[in-house]
Amino acid sequence: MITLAICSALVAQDPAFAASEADAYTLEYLKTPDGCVLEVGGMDLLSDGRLVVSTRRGQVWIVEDPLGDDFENAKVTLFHEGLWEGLGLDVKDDEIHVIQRGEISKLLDTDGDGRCDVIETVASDWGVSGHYHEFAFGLPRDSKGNWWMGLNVSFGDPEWWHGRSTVPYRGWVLRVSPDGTVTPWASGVRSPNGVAVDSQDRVFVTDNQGDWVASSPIYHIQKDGFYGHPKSLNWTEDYRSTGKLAHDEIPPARAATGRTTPAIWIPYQWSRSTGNLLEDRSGGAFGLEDGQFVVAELTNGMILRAGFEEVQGQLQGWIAPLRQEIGSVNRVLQAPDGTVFCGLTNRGWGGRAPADGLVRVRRTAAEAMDLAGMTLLDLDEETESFGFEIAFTHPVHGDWEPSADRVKMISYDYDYWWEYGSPERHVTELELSDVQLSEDRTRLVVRSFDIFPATCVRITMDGIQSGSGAPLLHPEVAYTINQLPSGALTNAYVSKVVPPPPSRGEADAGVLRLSWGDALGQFEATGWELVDASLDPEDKKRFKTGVGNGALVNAGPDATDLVTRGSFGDAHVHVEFMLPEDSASGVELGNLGRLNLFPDPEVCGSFQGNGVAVGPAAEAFGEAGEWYPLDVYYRAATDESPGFLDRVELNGVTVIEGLEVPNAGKGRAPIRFIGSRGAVAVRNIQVKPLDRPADAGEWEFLDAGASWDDWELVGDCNFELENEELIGKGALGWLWAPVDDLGDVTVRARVKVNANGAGALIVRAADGDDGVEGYEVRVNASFPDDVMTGSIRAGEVSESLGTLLIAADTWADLEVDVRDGEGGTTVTVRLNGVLVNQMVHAEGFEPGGLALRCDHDGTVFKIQNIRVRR
Amino acid sequence: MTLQRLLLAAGAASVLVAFATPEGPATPAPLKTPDGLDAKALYMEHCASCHGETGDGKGNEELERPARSFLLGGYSYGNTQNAVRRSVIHGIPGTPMPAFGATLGADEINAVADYVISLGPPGTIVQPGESVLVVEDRPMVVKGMMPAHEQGAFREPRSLVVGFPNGTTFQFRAEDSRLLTVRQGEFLDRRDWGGRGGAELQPLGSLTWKASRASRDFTEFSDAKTGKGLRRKVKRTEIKGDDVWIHFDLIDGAGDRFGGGQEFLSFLMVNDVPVPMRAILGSGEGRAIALSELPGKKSRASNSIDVTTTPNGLVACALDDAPNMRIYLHAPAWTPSLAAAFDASLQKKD
Repeated sequence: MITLAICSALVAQDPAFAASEADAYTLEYLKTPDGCVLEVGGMDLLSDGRLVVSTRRGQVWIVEDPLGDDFENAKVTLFHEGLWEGLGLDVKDDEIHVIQRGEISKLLDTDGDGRCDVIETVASDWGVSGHYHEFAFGLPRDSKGNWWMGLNVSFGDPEWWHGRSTVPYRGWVLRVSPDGTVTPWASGVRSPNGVAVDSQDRVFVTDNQGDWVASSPIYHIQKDGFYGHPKSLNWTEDYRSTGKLAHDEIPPARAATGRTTPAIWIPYQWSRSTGNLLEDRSGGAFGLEDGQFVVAELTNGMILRAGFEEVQGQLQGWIAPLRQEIGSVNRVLQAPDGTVFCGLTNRGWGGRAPADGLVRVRRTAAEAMDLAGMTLLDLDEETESFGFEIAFTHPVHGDWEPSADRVKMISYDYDYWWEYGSPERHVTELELSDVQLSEDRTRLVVRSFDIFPATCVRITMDGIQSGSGAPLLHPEVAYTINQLPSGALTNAYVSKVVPPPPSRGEADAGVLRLSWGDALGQFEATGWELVDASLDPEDKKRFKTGVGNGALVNAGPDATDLVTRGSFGDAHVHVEFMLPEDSASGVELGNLGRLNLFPDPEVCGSFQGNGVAVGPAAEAFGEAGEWYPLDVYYRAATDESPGFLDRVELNGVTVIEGLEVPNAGKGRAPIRFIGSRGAVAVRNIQVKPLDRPADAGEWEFLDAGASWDDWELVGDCNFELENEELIGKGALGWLWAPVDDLGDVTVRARVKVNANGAGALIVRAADGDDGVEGYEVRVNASFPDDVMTGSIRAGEVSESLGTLLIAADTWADLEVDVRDGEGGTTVTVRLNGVLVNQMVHAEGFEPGGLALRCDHDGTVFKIQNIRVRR
Repeated sequence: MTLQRLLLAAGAASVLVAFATPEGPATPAPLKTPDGLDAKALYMEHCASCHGETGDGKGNEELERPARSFLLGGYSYGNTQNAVRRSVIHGIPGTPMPAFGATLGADEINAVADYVISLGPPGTIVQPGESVLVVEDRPMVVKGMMPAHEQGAFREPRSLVVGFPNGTTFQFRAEDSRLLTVRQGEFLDRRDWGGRGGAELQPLGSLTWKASRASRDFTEFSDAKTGKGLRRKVKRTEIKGDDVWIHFDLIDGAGDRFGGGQEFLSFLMVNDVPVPMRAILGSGEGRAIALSELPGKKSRASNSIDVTTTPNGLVACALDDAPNMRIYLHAPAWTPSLAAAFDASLQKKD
């Protein structure tokens, strides 16, 4: 306490030393005029000193005199609007170049009125499917005039954040020559928001944590390097020549030895969404040594500093916070005087406020006790250990002596897998073999026997002050060790290939996701709403609901039960539920009986029906207001067999197992979520039918292998036959099957489509004005046009499904039944044996053929086992 | 900017000569009443004959289609102040509503627009939302993803959308410079920056023309030697005065550049009503290119112009002296008034 008091007094007496980051770096926020929202995506300076800013909103603004005395009131004018985002900007020979989603454009003001008149497309040779996550980032230029840019992967299923690369060159870093020639340079990036070129023409790219990306890394980009995200490999020669597509969940062959490791892994606690970076070339005017980097960070709203060094041919380095509490910093740009402009945007993801704007950050005249650098030391023969030297801007206070109590070093690594990010793994506090200050007290050496390559370390220094008592502003620093300075080179990675987590894609096979997308579309019910729900703290017997899509709640007056549209026989039912106090609900399992869901651990999970009543074998329910998963496996009674409740798992605990229900009614029946006896919230309702649909009748198999020459292709798609599987790839086109005269008919096939792809099966197909017409049944898991798998269209009439019943890349059994009757032709669609859609077409199409349709570019539509029953 | 620039580029000077006609009647001088504007008097003078003295749409003039009633407050192309002003200034294509931009001063136009709005119920006028792109005094060029323009079509990620102050919007696909739609009214709602981003641009105008399936796949130019189609890929847009120029590369089937050219977007004023006009000039830059055949009714309009009336509401003109140029007029038929306006446009100086 006494020491602290003395220190405070010393700092107070010595105003030339910074007591905090705020004393060392000032922040000035530009006031923007009405209608100007600077969600900054790119920045650069014109030769007359004006600052050009491009934004997420597709505008380009010009800030007058940004280095002037009154930055807050600097004049801002609109130069252009109408771009498709501007997430990178470069001023070359006083001409403004902006990277949009679809192109790099040069913007010219030819008549001198301060507004852009001419937009020239400089380069556009990459794909855009239209997915929201397909950002294009840039736009630094190297000494030869080449621009550098990065392209995001898009997303898809089974998890929404699973990366995709459905068009070239998603997940790549590209070099764009001055003449606009685009060269795919390096692959394996996920969301490369920051691209930089340093004074040695080294290209650096930051990435954002996600699938295959453990935390936010900084890559040193090398020609043909592969940085780890597999989907980009689809566009490598190896994959293209063989038609291979990268797997969602299995690491590619290159994962083990063919990855290029990041130079720096930024700890998640410091960066969750990394922006761009710049090499400080201001000769110390910003408080950094030349050659160190400033790194932008959105979520935590700060800038960091980083330093690189080459160790046994491998670039690696250190990173630490520099100035925090700025706002969602997406872009940094340094002016010649050392000033750093921070461009803010949270890209709609959330980040530290403010979420937009322009900030001028300047180093004050105050001295700062801060990190000056860090280097990895070679093996010390005396202690036989590797170590680090951390340099400070000023000598450490004479009272501070280094010790293992005051200096902590942990090491850790990461998992390389398809899960979103990775926790720090193998976190170990390292025993220090040596810790000492240099004679001039400006350098701290820390050594340990346990410093290994392919790990990261984080060092925390406690209580360090300057001679005058000013605190060390940043007492924690992280270093990424790709290689040690001597000894054998390692081929291990900081993010290590580990057994992938259980495949969710496989788990989805056969599942009908009844509450995904249009959450009520597959139910008969009144009084149910899709809302966000939580227990009302004022009255725990009810829910507080708000706008959202977190839960289906029986909030309306006179709510009925929530009853599935389709009927089920044997099934695995998954649902998550939440109950308020004193409520009562349950699940009627077809004709089998009811599983009770009460907010009472002794009763929740009990079964009653058809003369059978059993309590739960264990108490698995906890409290009202919490969500609990329920998984029920049951079999419907048939002529041959009584009904069975095979297993009930409540919150992961088996509460009922192997229960026979002898008197259960036979046959298929809907599943009923009880909503008439009290408030209940349910979500993520999935039913996996476990029985096979009846196979009676004579089926005609369309063996494409035997009759391939008779199949006819029309339009711009391509269908291939591989292992008895038809694979259609976009754009729009049709494949005619060699059958005709389909009148009253049932058609079955196994189908699957990739994320954002779409296709259709067309029964009674015939040539129409606008391609092939007939009863079209859509196969679409995620392309956002609300016409999902199972939707029916007949010319101008349609019955669309908005429920995302089938996940992308997941096989489903599709059955289309077409039958003429008195009121017209009835078309019935079943998925995995369950009726999901039906339409009566009054006009009725004439008997016709059978066609498969590929809807658009990027589609991969697979079909197996096509058969018809007339 | 006029067609002349393109014609000169096409080496079609003789067309200019052939069409040289005496100057038309002088445009009447704008009526100037800077002070004490009587909005009602202006309305009675310029509008009431068609729209009725009370704004009920029952004027004395006999029209092909009845004039709009203002009493219920619905306007053809959007209930914003700008939309009403725009209709007064530019007229409404395809209707008898003429343009008053040349006959009324700005103050008078504002006064008339305000008076028209006052005839409707309160609350008729809305402010454009934060995300709405508004075309003000000159054309606006926008890039982004457009939704599918008809059932069965697909969304268009790389769209080029050009809006004009008169409320006309042209939607192109940038990869092949194909015009997909023409709309009339407010311009675009750009929400692709909202939330996580990526939404489609929402066109706000009413569809007045859309490409047929055949014309979507149609290629204007072909390699004269092989007959193979050449794709027009947009490489530059230019706002030049009131007009917009789209420069393109001609790309062959292998994806290589074969030549280039320009498309010029403007309007012909036909009886004071703007008719969208697009003139497209290609060049093989040393290699011969040809204009692809257009479906439709062909006729010889004069001794140097061939006219094709297509089934989907276009009149396409080809000039003898400019074999690599085609001019599209968004009109259903080649009428004498259209021919006269076209003729005048060919002569008009920059």
